[in-house]
Amino acid sequence: MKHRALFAIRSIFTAAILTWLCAHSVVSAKGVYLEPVTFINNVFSGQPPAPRKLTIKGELAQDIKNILEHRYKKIRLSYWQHQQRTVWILEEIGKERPITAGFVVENNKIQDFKVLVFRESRGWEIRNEFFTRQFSGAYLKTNQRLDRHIDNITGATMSVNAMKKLSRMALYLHNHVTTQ
Amino acid sequence: MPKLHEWHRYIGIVSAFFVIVLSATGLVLNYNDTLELDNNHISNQWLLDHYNIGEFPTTSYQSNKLLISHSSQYIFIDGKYILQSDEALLGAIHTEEYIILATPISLILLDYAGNIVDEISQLTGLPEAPLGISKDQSGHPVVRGVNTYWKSRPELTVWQPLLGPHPQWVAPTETPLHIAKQIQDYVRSHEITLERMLLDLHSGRLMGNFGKNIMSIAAILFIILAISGIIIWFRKNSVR
Repeated sequence: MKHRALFAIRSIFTAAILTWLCAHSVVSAKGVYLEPVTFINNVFSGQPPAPRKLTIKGELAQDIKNILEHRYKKIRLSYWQHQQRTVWILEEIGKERPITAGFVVENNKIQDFKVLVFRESRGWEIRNEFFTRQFSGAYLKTNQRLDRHIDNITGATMSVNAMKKLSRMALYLHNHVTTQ
Repeated sequence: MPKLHEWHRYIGIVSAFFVIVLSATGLVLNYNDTLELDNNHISNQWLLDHYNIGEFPTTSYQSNKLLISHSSQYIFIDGKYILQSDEALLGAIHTEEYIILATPISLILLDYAGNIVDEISQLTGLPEAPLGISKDQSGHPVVRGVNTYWKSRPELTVWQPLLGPHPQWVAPTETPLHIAKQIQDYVRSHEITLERMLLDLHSGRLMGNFGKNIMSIAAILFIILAISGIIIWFRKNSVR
């Protein structure tokens, strides 16, 4: 009987220690992961083209609003284009603060995607390659949805959703400027 | 000397209050996303004072008839919230179409409805990080760089060094009391989210170190309660 009681007590303490360890393994990782200027320079091997401007208005504004489920915060967007390759630096709020992400789109497919600046207190895991590589080669279907399922990250759902929306927006904008 | 089951009962009664507080706050926090606790802020003055949320410095610039202010991480026009900006405000000017705000890293173009039209940084064509802003004699925007003053068209797309007389840089102005109060009310009431308050209630930190220690004692009582409960259960089982 004594042994059973000891076993029960040990189990409770083990569970408590494991819970404590899990709770303390969560760390915040806010900050600038990659300066936008470095991202642009990396994409164009140090010789970026001059930025172009795109005014978001009319049907374009409405389509972007449908993708983001709200109006984009700026009316005019800067982007970089060389032949069929475009680069977009976009911002979207995950939970409270904007997340800045860089997208390289070529031939209507995402070639590269990086989280550049993360200002939220949680959800920073989206910067990891295991998450960003899911977008590689992604393209828009006719209903302006991604062609694939993007796996969620527990505890970072809102940041994941924000990046999914921005990837659709980047693909949509690429299609818009390259077919003009 | 009370027996174990009597200790167990006393501890149970003392713990009941904490069990209710911890369960209720924990339950609500579990549905944080659904309840959008992090999007709701505390505006109760007593609680804000309790959190030591004091007055935030406000910097204001007069541009035409508009008062552009920056406090904490927010920018206001005539006391009305317009946008978030972690960067300080170095000045503001107006053109026919836009209000142009200068921050240490960029120029922000707003239309007169308060919408962000564009943000021009060194990445998107600004020749230098701004130190100040003004207008030249023709009314064109001029940005103060370290050694050069740069002028542009109102769209801020092309820049060239300013030749001719130096402009008078926009300087801060005093914030009228009623606008300062409006701004302080907004900023203070956006510092603490409902989620933060519930987390602090859950951990006891809402009452500082005293509350934290009380919750720690409560946690120890829960452990004692669980262990004594198991021992009592085993004893009863062994008697049977």
